[in-house]
Order: sequence, then C-alpha cells, then structure tokens
Amino acid sequence: MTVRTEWDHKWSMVVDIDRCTGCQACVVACQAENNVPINTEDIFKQSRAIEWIRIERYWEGEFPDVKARYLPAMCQHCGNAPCEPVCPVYATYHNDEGLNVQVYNRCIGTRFCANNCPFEMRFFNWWQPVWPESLRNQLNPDVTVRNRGIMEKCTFCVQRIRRAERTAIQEERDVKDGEFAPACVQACPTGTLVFGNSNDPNSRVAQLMKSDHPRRYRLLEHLGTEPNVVYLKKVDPYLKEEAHNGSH
Amino acid sequence: MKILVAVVGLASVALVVLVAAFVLRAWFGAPFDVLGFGAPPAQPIAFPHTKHVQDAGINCLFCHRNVTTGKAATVPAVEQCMFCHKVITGTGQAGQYSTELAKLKQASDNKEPINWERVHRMPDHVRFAHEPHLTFFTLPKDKGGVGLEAAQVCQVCHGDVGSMTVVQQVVVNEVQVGGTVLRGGGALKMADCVNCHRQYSAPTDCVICHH
Repeated sequence: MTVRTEWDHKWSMVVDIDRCTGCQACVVACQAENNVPINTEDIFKQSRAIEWIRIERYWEGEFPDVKARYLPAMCQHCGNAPCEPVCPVYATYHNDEGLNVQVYNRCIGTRFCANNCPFEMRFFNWWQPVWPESLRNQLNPDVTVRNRGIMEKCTFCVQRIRRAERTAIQEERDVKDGEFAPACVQACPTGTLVFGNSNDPNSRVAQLMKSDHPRRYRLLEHLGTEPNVVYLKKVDPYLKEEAHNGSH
Repeated sequence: MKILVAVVGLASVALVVLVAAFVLRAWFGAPFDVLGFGAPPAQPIAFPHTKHVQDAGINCLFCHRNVTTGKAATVPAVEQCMFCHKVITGTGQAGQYSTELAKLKQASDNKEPINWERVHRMPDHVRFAHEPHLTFFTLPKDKGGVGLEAAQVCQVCHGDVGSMTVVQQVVVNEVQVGGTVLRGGGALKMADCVNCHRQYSAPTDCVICHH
C-alpha cells in the first residue's frame, strides 16, 4: 500500500422526486450537520435565510383539486459552474472529485457568485451567526462556523467525504458505495436522495443517473451548467387518468 | 523646537516599526517572548511531561490514544490518569496526595473533567486531522511512507514534548529522528503545512483542510 492522494471519485446525487413527501428532514439534518445559522421569521421575510438544502413547494391545480409538489434543491455542483469564474479571489473552484468548493478563508464577500448562480443556492452571511446557549455544544467541530460577510453553500458534506476517504486509506481499500452519506441523504426517510461516486458504474447513483433513464432531468438544463445532481421526474397517476378521459 | 519635532517624529516611527515587527513575527511565526506573549498557557494542574515520558518511559500513544484513529489526539480522561495515580500519590504514601495530584484526585472524586488549556493553536479555518499524518509517517519506507515509530512522529510538529516541564508550542524547523533529518512543522502556519504536503506529494486541494 502507498498512501493514496488521488481518487477516481466524482460525487453526485440523484433526487427521486416521486419519493419526496416534503417532510423537511433533510433541511433539519443539514442545518445541524453543517453549523448553518438559525433562520428566524424576520430573516425569512428579508429573503436572507440560509438553507443549504431547501424544499421548494409548488401548488398545482385549482381548489378543490390541488396537489402539492415538492422539489428538494441544493447546490448542483455544476460541472460548468457559473459561480466559479466570477470569483475575483478564487474562493470557489472545482476540485478533482467533482465538488464545487467554497473556501471560506479566501472569500471576501463580493457576492458575485450568488449573483451568477441560476439556482440561487449560494448564501451570504449578512450577520454574525449566533446560537442560543443551549445549542453551544451542538455545533459540529468538523465544520467551520462561518463569519459575517462570506458566502456559503452546500458542500456535499465534504467533512464526511474526507472521513470516509481517511478510513479507506487506513484500511487499504476504496471507498465503498453507500458507506457514508451526506446528512440530508442519511436523514431522508423515503430514499428520495441517493448519493455516491458516479465514476463507479456499479454504484447505485451511477445506475440511477444513466442518461437513458426515462424520468431523468436536470434543473435548468438548457443553461448548460452541467449539474452534478440528477432529478427523476414524479410519476403522476392522476395525470394519466386525465389523459385517458381527455378532460382537464 | 525643530529638535523636539524631530525627536517625537523619530520616536513614533520607531514605535510603529517595533509594533509592526511584533505583529509580523507573531503572524508568520511565534511571537517574541516578552510581556508573557510567548509564554505557555497556565494549566489547572502543573503536569510535567518530563516525569511521564523521560522518567516513567510512557509512550505518547498510551495517553493520547485517539491519535492514530481520529482527528484529535485527545487529552486522556481523568479516569485514565487514575489508572496509575490511584497508586502513585506523589508523596510515596498511600492516600496522601501531593498538592498537584490532590487536584486530580479531587476531580476524580467529584467526577469532573479537568479544564486543560489548549496549547497548540492552528490558524483559523483549518480542520486538521492527526490520523492521516500518523498513518503516512509510520508507513514503512519501501511502501512510500517515512517509516517512523508512532511516538517519533509527534515531535515533527510538536517538538520534543518529553523534555518539556511545561508544554509549549515551539517552532520546529528541523527534527532529527533516528539518524534522519526531517523538515519540522515550523510554526504550524499554512506555509509550513503546504511545504511538507508538497515534499511528500500529499494532497494540496484547499478543501482537504479548509471546510
């Protein structure tokens, strides 16, 4: 064995919309894992809430025939990320493992990246984050607590990726599929979110994100940002019936 | 009058230069040892590494046992100190503890942790993990590692802690282990980390440490 420094990893995620119930467990898990500041009603009203993963809710149809649609959305870790070239200090870049990385100590808070992100997945710290005393010991020691004035976003829980890779190095093996998962994936009760190494053709995520998957799509695909997160369309039984009846 | 202006001017320039030198030195290395800046932090119990390492011959890993498996080297729990200090009282008589060891006994009786002060400080925003460094430095040379004993690896960054009565962060520019001279951990600044990572072709991706 030699100590590995390079991996054949490309971390990707599949979001199966059909399974999502909109329970927001992923949102809570992410908040806890990544020391995301607490959002108050006031902050929400200013549209300055920080949520590395959010459930976008859409209403479809007219009352009484209303359906709620949920779309879990997080940083898409675009292969051709619009946020990266606009950073004047190289605080955001693409690493070898397909992650769109935000380096907090380089960031000077120009917010160009957030401006350029078509998914609105980058968040600016408008205030110094504060936690109540009771949550003091809840902060994750593996994740930086971000200061006022810098950008932050989903990292695919890079601290967990690193931990899995370190364990793999020690045990002289590759990182196994499904060995670890980001907090949101771990918390998801319905298996909506699937995470893994898409360079490994046998991994679950690679199987699900195959280009010939009938339900596959990516967010704002026409923009050509090559997102690393693949969505699987909702299977809607009602729509089928309507199509059969020929009425709306 | 002109002389007064000149003297005041020169004095203020000198002051600015002094302060700048102080700040720069503290930023890039260790601070000057004046006004208590370079002094080690006061610990709740005067713990001598010399007695444990040099006199008793205890391996670093016996107490800092998480160092080969986890991010933190970990300071041992009070209970672990009491493995030995149930018997070793410091006065040679059972039940009669010396002043410093009495504090340990008290903490153990009250089931309280000891609030040790942190000695080694990395710059902000670094998520340092001990374990991969131990893994690499203890790996035999023919497998691409450095081939040190686990206890020898510590001094690359921490200096010879075994000979310190009071532990202190030191600047290690060079360290001699078993006849070979290695680059030391310096003042544990980013340049020191990156130089070493480059030398041993360890990853230099930002997100390895900064996340």
